[in-house]
Amino acid sequence: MAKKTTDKELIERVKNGDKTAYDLLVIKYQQRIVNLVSRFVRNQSDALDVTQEAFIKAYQALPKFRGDSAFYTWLYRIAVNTAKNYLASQARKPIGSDYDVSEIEQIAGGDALIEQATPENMLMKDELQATVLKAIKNLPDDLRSAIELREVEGLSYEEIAEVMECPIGTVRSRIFRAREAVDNAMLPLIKN
Amino acid sequence: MVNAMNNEKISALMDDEIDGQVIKQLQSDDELKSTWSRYHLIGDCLGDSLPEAIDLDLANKVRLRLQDEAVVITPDFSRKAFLKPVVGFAIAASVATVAVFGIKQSNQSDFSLATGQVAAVKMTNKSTTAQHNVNFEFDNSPQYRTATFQTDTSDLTENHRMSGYLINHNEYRKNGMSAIRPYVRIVTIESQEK
Repeated sequence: MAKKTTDKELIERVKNGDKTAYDLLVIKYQQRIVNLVSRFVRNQSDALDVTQEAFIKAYQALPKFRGDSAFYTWLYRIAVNTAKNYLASQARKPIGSDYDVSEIEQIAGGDALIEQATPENMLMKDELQATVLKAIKNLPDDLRSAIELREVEGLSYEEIAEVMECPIGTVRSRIFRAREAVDNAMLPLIKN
Repeated sequence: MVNAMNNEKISALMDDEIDGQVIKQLQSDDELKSTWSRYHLIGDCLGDSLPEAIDLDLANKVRLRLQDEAVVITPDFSRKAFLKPVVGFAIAASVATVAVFGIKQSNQSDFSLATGQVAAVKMTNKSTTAQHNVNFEFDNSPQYRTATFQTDTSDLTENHRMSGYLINHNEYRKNGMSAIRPYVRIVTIESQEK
């Protein structure tokens, strides 16, 4: 088991002036943060902007991050505050000034009428989820159990090894092979 | 084969099950970075934390915006935390040293009779002249200093009162204030015999 978590290692690198290490943190947490922000900001396009803003703020505030809590917990708070500030700024906007139709619909609670923007790089959740679940279902039992124990139950390799009664190296290999199989199933969807 | 090996390392890295040595490789290899992104997407999907619409370009947008940001460089807090008590101790020690030597010096130079005691008051009456020998003893220099008063016998009572006043005043004076300045060692009032 690694002594230092990957997040800590990456944060240390960012704090030493390595911007590209922050890129890996953004890739890791981007979907979770968009999902979180979307609970506050219903308009998808705005949620993506707020998410970007939250990541920028987190980067700027990173020197203050002492590592007392997990990085995601800290990032979560920044994202929630950024979303709330965004909503407050929207509420302060005088009606008739800068609103466009989608904003008025959102504030009026008519988000069912909002057409979600789906640019080229947007992938729909349902489509991806169906593909991934199908790929998981098709996995051999040992691979499926290993990836589910890791990703759904959140167990460590040591704990999975205990549950599956096999060496840690085997757990590591099974989880990797499961990811590879799902990735191969998912790749055409992403490329398209 | 090499790719599979690297991908296995990436898989272990995202589960915190490998040390960070592979990070450098991950940062410089776009193919590995895509794998890192897709593996996390699988995790988010299984953990049901995907948003309704997934922007696969979000990290690039953040990266572009960060290009204008200053590079974050933070001092090592652990070293700072170690230095803090050491610096504090050094300051406290310096202050204590200055205080001890300062007080000692003050005691040496200010023989303001702080602990001086009037050892003896000797009065001699020679016909018409009264002679008062006042001896002061200092605890750090056992010297005797003598104050001689020669006065007319008619002033004897008054001089005796003055002497008593000076002795009392010395006893009740405040710290640091001299009743009789040390450099005024001898106070003499002389008058010729009429």
